[in-house]
Amino acid sequence: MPLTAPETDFRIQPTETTAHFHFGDPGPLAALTEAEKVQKSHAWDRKGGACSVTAPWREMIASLEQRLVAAALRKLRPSREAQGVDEAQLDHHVDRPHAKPAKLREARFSDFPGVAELKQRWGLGEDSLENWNHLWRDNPALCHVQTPMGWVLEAEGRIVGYLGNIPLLYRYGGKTLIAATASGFVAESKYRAISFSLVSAFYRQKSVDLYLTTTANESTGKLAQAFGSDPLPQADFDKVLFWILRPHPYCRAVMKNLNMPRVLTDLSAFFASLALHARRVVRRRRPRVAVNGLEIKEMAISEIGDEFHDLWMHKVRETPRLLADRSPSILQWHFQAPGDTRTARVICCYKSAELLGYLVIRDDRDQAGGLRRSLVSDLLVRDDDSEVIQALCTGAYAHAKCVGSHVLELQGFPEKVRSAFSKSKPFMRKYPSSPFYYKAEDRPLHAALAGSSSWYASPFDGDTTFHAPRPIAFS
Amino acid sequence: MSLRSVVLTQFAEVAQEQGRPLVPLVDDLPLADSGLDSLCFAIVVARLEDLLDVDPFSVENISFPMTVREFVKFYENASK
Repeated sequence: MPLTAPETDFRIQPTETTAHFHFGDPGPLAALTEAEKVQKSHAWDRKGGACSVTAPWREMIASLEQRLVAAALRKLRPSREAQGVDEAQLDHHVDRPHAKPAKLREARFSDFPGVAELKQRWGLGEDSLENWNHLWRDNPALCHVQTPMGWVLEAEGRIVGYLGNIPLLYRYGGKTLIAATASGFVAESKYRAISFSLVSAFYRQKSVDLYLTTTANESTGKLAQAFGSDPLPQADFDKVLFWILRPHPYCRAVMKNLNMPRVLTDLSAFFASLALHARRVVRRRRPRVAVNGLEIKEMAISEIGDEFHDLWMHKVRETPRLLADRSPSILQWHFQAPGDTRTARVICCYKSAELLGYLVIRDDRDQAGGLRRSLVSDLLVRDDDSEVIQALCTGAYAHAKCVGSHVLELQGFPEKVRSAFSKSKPFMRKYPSSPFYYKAEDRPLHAALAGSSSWYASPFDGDTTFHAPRPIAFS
Repeated sequence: MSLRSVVLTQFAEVAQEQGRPLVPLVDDLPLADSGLDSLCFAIVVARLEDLLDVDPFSVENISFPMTVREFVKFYENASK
């Protein structure tokens, strides 16, 4: 539930596929004596015509990269810090010292102004009535189930707490499951003692097979667990792989966000981008094309057609896994929110005119601070073919470069997908806790989902990539 | 043991388990200032449901308690 966007741990860790010289990784130097380090530092190593950087320089570059990337990622954190707004100041909105009794009830469309104001005040950004219509009137899942659109805590005729409830369709073992994902959890501080009642209402609702929380922070994750949810068993969902595409603008955005003086910003960005660029060249941190008769084509979300249905049906019949419904109409609904300032495109992989896989990439542009990000929002490949996945990875990289993104990110997906992406040596950052929790109403189903192989969790799940009609706000 | 004691005992036990500093539980103390967070209250309510077989927080459209006194009263009314 997002319970708000997850807080990110910005410690950079080495990826699984890179053996040495990663952020925070002392690499081979750690095993050397001081004398050997000095000796090695004076050696120039030529390979393939390219002059690689000697060990101390590598360390310096790594250190610089580490600081830069960590600082930049703080700025990538979606409106998280905004929640850390001065609570004392915000509490003036509440009559201290005595908050009036609050009542819990189902949310309705007429609550929109109060909820939007509450969410904005607590740093969850702007919302729109069009977005509410999208989620709770145009949602394809509503053809299968009628669930509350959420719950509110109301006191003195105004909204003091809110939790959204978005119905979604899933497939598992040949069956369609009704899932609900909690979204936009917020409560005024005076009412947080009873804010659990919103979460309690979420877990008490009827006609739901699966309860999902996909953007939890540490405390909301604990709350989900208190109501019987378990953390996602799929490995590495909390680790984001990323590639820096444009070192100089990336570094400039970082420096700008650090509020450095203009001169220092330019100078630092110049040297930092040099370091990152050198690093990228040395480590060859980019996907390379290795395609056998595969054709990559990019299209708009609105062009998703029947061939996607065939691929989806094939995936449903593959090994039994819990899959968010990806039928064409749902894909279009998911990625076409009204008023969304972000763009999503589909990168398709064909062989002999047959669709073998696709990747949806979302570009977050013109964010405060100037940082631009492309996120792999969905990916589906017939039989999880590694060659197709790598071809899509290459396509995603090329797309992100083409649209001017500074960084490309991949979060979630099973090991086979991640390992294919990891071949291009991404950087990695880690969340401090799992953002993804689940609870199945049916105990045998819950037990079946305890295995990692039952999952294909990605940003497509839950409310992770539901488009808000606003750019991500950086703190 | 009175209902009040049962409730306050749960406050203390959960606070200790969750490592939260609990302030003296006087009647007029706002729940939000007790030191317990929403997770703690979720646990308290779950345990009280086990002990008393009532969950007054599951009822919509009734006024939820904001102080310790109201919280105890809330359970007293629900247990009747």
